[in-house]
Amino acid sequence: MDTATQIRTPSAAAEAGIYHYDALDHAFITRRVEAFREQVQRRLSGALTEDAFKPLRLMNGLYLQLHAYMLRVAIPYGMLSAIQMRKLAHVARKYDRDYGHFTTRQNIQFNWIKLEQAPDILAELAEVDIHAIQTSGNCIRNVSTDQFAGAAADELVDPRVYAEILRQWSTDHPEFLFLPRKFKIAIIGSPQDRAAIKLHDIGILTQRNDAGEPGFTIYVGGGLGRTPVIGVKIRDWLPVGDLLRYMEAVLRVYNAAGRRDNIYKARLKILVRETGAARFAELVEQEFANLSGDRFHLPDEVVSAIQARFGSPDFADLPQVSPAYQKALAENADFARWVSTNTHPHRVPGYISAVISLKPIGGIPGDASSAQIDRIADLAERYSFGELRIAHEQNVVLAHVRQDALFALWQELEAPGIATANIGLITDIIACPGLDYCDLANARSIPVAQSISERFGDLARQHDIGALHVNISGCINACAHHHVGHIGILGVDKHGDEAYQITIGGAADENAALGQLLGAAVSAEQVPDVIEGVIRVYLALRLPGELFIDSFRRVGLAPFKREFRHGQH
Amino acid sequence: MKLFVVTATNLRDGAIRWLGAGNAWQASFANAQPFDAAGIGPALAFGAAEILAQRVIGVYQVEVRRTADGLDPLSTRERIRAFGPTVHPAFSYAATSRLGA
Repeated sequence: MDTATQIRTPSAAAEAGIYHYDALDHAFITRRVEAFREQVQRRLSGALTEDAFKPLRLMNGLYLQLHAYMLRVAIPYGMLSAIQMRKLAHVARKYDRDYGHFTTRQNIQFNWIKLEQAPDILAELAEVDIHAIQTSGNCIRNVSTDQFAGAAADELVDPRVYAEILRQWSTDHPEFLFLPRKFKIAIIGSPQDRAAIKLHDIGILTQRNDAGEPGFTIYVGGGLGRTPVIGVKIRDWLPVGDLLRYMEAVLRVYNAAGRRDNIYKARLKILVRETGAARFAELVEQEFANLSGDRFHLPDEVVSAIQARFGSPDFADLPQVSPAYQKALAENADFARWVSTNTHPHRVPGYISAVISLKPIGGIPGDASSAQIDRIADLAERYSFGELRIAHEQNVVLAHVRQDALFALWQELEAPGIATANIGLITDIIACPGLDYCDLANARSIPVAQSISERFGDLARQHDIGALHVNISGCINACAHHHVGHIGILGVDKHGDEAYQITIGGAADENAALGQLLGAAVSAEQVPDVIEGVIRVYLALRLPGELFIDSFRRVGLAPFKREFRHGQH
Repeated sequence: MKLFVVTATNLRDGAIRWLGAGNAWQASFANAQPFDAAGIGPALAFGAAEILAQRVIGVYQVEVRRTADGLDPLSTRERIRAFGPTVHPAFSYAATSRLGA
């Protein structure tokens, strides 16, 4: 099958679980593409200076990086269809160097884009309802959510419809396109936080009250970067009808009072800290009261109408446990090991969510070739109702796999090199592009990730170590969330040389915590040895069944620090 | 004596450019022209004019040293920019030029 026939127009029935654009959505993104095409032509002709053009290209996701232009394409709340996934493979193949890089904001980046081709790329993406709007700039960025949304067994409320409502509300919102700084929102519907909501400008926990009605708990002021802060709760309960009104209130307070004189103090977290969380909450409530009336009310019928534009998987009526699945688990230890890390319980009997690792041993975290992207799209169609998700950990999820088909799926992952049984383990490393690609970076991230991956590549050893998240950022902007890695690694510039500060004890889940510094920065070559020391201490002191993060919380930093100092002598 | 080269980004395709002999923009760092402290000013002035001519953007100087193999940028960042990402050997600028890219 050639590329042209693989790329089809989406139809509402083709992919379940995906929000389907209406005519208004289509017209909007088509207009944006044509506007950007004209802007690029004016830039190339000299009618627009680079200073005038830069904010326009950034609004369309086009950065200038170390080697070339980089296009960041939005994947709203990380969900896309197999058809959309194939289009990403097509862009990688036709316009880039045959691969894409999935990011910690559940987006994809293409690193070798030509400015003169960017409008054509966006036009091709628009054919399948994909765009790059608001993937950069001081605006509300791609709303992120739980990669198991709508599928997880522990879910209280499916947050996708609210994520979509937030996407529609925030897209091209005239009042919030020029905020003091970028603004990030995450929403979840499970008590287990898989989207790091407390590390966002606004974090939303969707849950139900005693009457069974959905509503929201609101956190604000979280963020990483130069000043890492865990978000604080400012609203225990917000009815669904008030969601947009409350979002407007938070954004209005921030837009009016957020600092614009210092880029490093412009994020909401600084305003909340300087104002005080209680006072900030009061200001929001005052603004919220001023916004009374129908204009900002979110009616039930609108929620229902948007919900109706999501396809719904046609789940089969299956027993809770599949005998074929149990048999495969019992007979194949490799499969059982993969299942132990790369799956998540599903809410529907007989189904399970599968995580495809984009972290092969020694590979580049989050990178996928166009052939792999195409292959994953094929698998999504055959095993998961044509729907897939990008996890903020830079992996891909097939959310709705029949348990009795899981063994066959696993067998198909081997050939394209995406069967690594390491989700949540030490080699499932979150890494930013670092100095190899990023114009802002101080140090490389990817080679450090590769060296750690190779050092700990033995799967039996990884599984023995257990859940352990390693996050590596190439600069203080913290795109790889190093502050909240169980082991966090920050690349710094030390007198012109790359060096790496290591923290331990961070967490991005419902018990979010910032890591604590182990000691002075070390060289790239020393990083695997330092981590080896951390693991050695953990294995020596862990209680039976105790995870790394729990051991750390029990014993504190001191024994790890002692080991670090010992290793430096 | 400090040595510098002048680099920029090609406007149309975002590719890295190096100012070579005769004020010609070169795709390969190997063809970059070194300038001493006295020569770098006029070279940067030429680069500024090239920005106005809409050929390149982001012109700046890079400090280099001479080695047995030729010029070599001092900083890791500029070495990566000159020779390509260290994690994709196929994308090194030597490799891509061999491929005719």
